[in-house]
Amino acid sequence: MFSRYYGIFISRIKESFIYRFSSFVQVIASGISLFIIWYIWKAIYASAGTTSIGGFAFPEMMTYMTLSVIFNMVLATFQEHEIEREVRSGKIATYLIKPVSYPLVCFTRTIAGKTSQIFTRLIPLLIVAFFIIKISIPVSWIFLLSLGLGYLINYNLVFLTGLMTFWTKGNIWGVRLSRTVIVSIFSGSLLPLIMFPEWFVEIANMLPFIAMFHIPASIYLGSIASTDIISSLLLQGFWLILLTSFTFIVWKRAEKKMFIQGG
Amino acid sequence: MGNIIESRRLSKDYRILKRGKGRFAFFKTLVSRDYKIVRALKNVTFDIREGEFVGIVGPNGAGKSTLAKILTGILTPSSGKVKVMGLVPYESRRKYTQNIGVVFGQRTQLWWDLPVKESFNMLKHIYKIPEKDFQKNMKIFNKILEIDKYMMKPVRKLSLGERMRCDVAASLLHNPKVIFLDEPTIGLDVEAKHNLRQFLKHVNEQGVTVILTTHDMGDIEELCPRTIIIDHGKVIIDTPTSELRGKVSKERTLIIDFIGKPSKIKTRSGIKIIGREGDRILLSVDIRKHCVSDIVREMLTKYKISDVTIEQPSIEEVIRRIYKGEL
Repeated sequence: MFSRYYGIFISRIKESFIYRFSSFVQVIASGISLFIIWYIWKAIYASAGTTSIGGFAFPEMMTYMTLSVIFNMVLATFQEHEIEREVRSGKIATYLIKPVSYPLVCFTRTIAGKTSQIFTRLIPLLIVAFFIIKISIPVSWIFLLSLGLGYLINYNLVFLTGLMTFWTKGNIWGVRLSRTVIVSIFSGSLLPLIMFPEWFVEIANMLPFIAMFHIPASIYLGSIASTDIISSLLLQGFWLILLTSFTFIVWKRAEKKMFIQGG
Repeated sequence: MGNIIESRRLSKDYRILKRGKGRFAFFKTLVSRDYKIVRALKNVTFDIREGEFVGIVGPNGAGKSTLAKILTGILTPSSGKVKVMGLVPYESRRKYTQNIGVVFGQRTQLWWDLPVKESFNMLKHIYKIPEKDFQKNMKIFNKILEIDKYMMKPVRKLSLGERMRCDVAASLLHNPKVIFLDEPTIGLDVEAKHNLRQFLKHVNEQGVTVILTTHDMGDIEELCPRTIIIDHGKVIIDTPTSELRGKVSKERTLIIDFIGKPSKIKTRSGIKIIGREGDRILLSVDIRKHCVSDIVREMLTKYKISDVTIEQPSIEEVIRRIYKGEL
């Protein structure tokens, strides 16, 4: 079933190497944001005069914030903008006339993009994290599975954002920006959720966003008891199934609304 | 041979949000649900037999593209039914598209930043083309279209003519039974146009059904034995191209060059002089009343003449008059 997409996967990886300079810049940007985070938290701990904020000692906080940068790098994709461009320019038609599913084409492209980033971005980032910032090693490697689920949940949101083009018939930049802000707050990637008031945490627990950062990060840090890991993964699985079904319904409606611009 | 495309009373409506006028119109359109219905296609019915080469023409906005999009499975019609190779394109899109080829003249399907070869390789996987067939087709394309010269060039560095050759080859890689070409010769120079037309003729001779939408009457005259004219969403003419002129034009123009000063020509019903310039006379002959060759013979025996040219209105002229509603 996936063999039809193999060519797209390979071509996309080759294509990504054309933009080596942009990869290089991204690595530098991640590095800079890590150092800014480092200095901000150093200043916060110094002025607070305590060794622990919200139960986090400084090295723990640095591990948490570095994980946030790394996980965000793993989750990040610009696929929604590519979808927007293809819908608005009508290029989407060139996929609709082939025996492939457009949602799977988009998914193949993000996975290919990620694969090429393992070497161009992830590995340099990991080197900085483990050898310079010296973050702690994962308590449980199950976090990789959890992060994978988080990736798929995030991708659903990204794809849905892209599909918004069918209804807004225009720019989705605003939708994307709002999503990014909401995700970064409610997923716990901006600040550990434990530092928010209780009512806020209760709301966050009812939303899918914790599945994108809070759960995999907690498994990594060991702040979820090993007996609770299964139920956390099940919760992620629940959100994934729910969102994927929703995406499927929205895509079916988008297909009916298909308007191909130009020519 | 049987029908490969059957279209029955195909209609397509577009809902367009009405935009008000005035300063607050923007806010009004945010909440209003006031739509205007635009009928892009109205009861389009036709059959196309296997192996035909059919030209679809019509002015901009006539509904050609909408029809092409329904036939290729991109759009769903509002009412009516269409079957191609026994399948409803927009219902079983993935199964259907395995056996069709599509070329959009104004939009490439190749990967912009990568060498052409890469796009062909990608298509090989998408259509699951067996290596043997792939190599065989590449050999044919290289021989006729000579695309091997730029297989390693990134698509963005190709000229329009080169790119179009590659696009057409790409659409045929998986041996489709039907190909849809949307203005494939747009913007091409004379030489490139000629090459492409030769190739399309060759493809059709191999038994592939070709549906061509175009504005270029040269394409129609050279390639399509049958022409369907669409205007305002309706099929207004569906006829063999050879009859298109005869059907709409009852006149021929004879351009007669006399030796010396033109003699006085006796005109009668069905023959009239429509112009004079020096030694030349333009004579209009009604072909319902006279046989053109008889008139030519008569002229040659009666007068001292150096040259006679018979002109029929160009297809372009005919179609222009059809669009204007004169015919």
